[in-house]
Amino acid sequence: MRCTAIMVAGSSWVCASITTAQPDWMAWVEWHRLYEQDEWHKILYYESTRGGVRSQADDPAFFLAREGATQPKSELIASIEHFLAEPSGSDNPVHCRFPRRYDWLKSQLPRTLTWPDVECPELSAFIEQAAPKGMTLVYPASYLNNPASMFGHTFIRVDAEEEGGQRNDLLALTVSYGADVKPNENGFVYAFKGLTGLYPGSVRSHPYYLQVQNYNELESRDIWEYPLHLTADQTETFIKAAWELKDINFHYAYLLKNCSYRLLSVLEAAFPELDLVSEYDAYAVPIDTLRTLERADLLDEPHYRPAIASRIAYLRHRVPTPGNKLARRLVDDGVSDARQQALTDYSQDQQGNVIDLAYEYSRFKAKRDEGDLAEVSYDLLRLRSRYPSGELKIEPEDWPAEPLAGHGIRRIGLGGGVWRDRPYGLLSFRPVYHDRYDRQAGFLKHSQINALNSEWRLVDGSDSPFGIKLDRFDLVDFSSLVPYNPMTPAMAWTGRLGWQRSSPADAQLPFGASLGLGRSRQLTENSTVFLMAAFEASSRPEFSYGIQAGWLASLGDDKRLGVELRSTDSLLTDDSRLRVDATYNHPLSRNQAIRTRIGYHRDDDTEGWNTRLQYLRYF
Amino acid sequence: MKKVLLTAGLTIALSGTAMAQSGPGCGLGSMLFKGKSGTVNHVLASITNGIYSNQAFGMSTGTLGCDTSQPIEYTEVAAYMDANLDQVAVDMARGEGESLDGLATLLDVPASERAAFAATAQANFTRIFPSAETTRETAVEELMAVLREDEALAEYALNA
Repeated sequence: MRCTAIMVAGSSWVCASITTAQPDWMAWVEWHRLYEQDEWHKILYYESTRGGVRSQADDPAFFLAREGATQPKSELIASIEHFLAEPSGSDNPVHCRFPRRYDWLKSQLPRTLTWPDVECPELSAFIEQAAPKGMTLVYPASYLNNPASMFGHTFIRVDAEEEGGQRNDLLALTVSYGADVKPNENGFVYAFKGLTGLYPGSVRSHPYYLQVQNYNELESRDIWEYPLHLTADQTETFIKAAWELKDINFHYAYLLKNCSYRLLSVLEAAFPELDLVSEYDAYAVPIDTLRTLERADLLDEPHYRPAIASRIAYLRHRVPTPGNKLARRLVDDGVSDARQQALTDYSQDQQGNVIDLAYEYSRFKAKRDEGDLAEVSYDLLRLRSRYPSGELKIEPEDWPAEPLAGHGIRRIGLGGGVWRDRPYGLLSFRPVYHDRYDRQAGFLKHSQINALNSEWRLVDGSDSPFGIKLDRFDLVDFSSLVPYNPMTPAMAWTGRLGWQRSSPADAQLPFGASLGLGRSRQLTENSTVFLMAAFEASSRPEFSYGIQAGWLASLGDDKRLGVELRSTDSLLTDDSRLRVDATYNHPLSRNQAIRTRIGYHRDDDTEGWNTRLQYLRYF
Repeated sequence: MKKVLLTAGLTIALSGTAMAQSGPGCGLGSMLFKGKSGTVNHVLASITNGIYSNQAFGMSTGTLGCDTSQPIEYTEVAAYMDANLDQVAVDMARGEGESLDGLATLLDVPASERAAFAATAQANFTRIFPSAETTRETAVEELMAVLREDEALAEYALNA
């Protein structure tokens, strides 16, 4: 019989076997090999390694056995021993620190075992406060200005019970995992540590209103809320699983063990019958984790919560053009009597819209630190209060397509082309994410996020020993071509880093970077034009500058058409290069498309037409 | 339903109040369109998935930084208003909105009375928010006064 507690009686040590009166649970555990159960492994976040398992929890505080991180059996036995013992009198006994595993062990072991009565006031208060009724998966969309946010984020909101339904969502508690980064961390250090998994990370809980303010207002990101098909009891189990992670470190790694991956693993710990994490081995992108939950039949129809810029765009379209101008001048030039008078030219409803638009614009402008707009914002609110009540609400018919309506983020392409009368085969692969000719629904408008995109040309043996040539490999290829609007001004920009052949006739495959900076304008309701200053440097060697311009249009539901031009001159030589491309992308379904491109290329060595056709498959 | 103490919100909202309390309530409250002298932005920024937060699970029983003579309900409302002053102001001006509804929830206004609550608030907007420099203290005080003067809503005013 093991010695499970030592008490001091007088001056002698007495070994007390508290488990003497209990059935022999140790034998039961051995017989059933409880420590090998999938459920136990999920609750403790064990993953397979060479020669065994290791928990993803990078924190000794998570384990009750010294070697618990790699020995599920020791951890299980130590856990049962601790849970069977009376709480030691500390104000945070293990029964309260690890409620998820405590519940699971109690449910698995024989009913004849007696467990001590333990009060967990902090946990109980937290659950009472959360008043769980259900859970929602919250997905703040992409934010291009920050690599950490480029692919969105996911966290859980615990929906609360109130008489007559659901309590106001803003008051709900959230559970979110993220990296613990020092404020003002250097950008390169952040990128390096984030990619290599050197940041500690932890689970935090905040009221939802703080999250909404941060994403919708501060970062101007749309939020999509997907209610989960989980009951109140299941939600309480999830809370207990999350509670175990309080102050526990899990190293954060940008590519795989990130917020979305961790969230799936906590859901597995709460609901081990789910298999959510096993498909992820190299990288986990938030939208993919949403698809995993969709396949597990856990997601309900989403609700859209618009960012401040989206609300401004919505109001701008509801109000006629002169109303837009008036709204802008109310803010830029003040709420004068003359402008208040000008309001009366509109219907009462539209007057309310103009004031709402002006107010939202004033807060957006203030966020960019352009002067103190408090007086103007206040004057607008005072004005608004005299109008009939009306919430600013965007109805579902005006919502953008939800993220799950978008194409898969991986894309493979198969096709062929002709360069100067010579045909070639074409193969392309892009692991991540979206470009400006892909079907646009569900993605951040006017944005392109491409990483590790490659194009291969299949040629006859005379050109290359293997019959295949790499034409390009982009490490990153991003762009944001948001049309300029005085209320939400933005620069258009593109950035590319990688290897690229300038044309099929180019013998070199230099490594380089290119940058474009300029402006985009809305031309018609469905098309934009852009003009940018272009810069390029490569290992050819080459330094060149010039212009990049284009016209991009959406036709019908989801077809994309564009014409782009790029004209650059070299700083080092007299060379110049011109490239004009017309591209048309025709989706066949959500995850298939046909794309064709007709291009003209001219530089000082060569000139010719390059036409191609590809079948694209997304997954 | 029992009043629920939003200690998470309380802790976060009040973590920026390093200064000692000056007067009743929870230290210096926020001001319209200015937050708590820049700390709101910092607090908000700490929410994003990349920035350090030292409040893992914002649980603390109560009155962190608050004048302990105040009842819990007042502290709760004060903390919410500190973090949501702008949002509540615009909802009041519009006569409807989710942040205003959140405030009504904290005041235990039942669903059947919420429309009346919002309408009364809108009608008294310039009293509750008299200027662009309105502080949380003023807004809460005036709102309570407005409620007390209304027969149907008086019972929801806090007795602060």
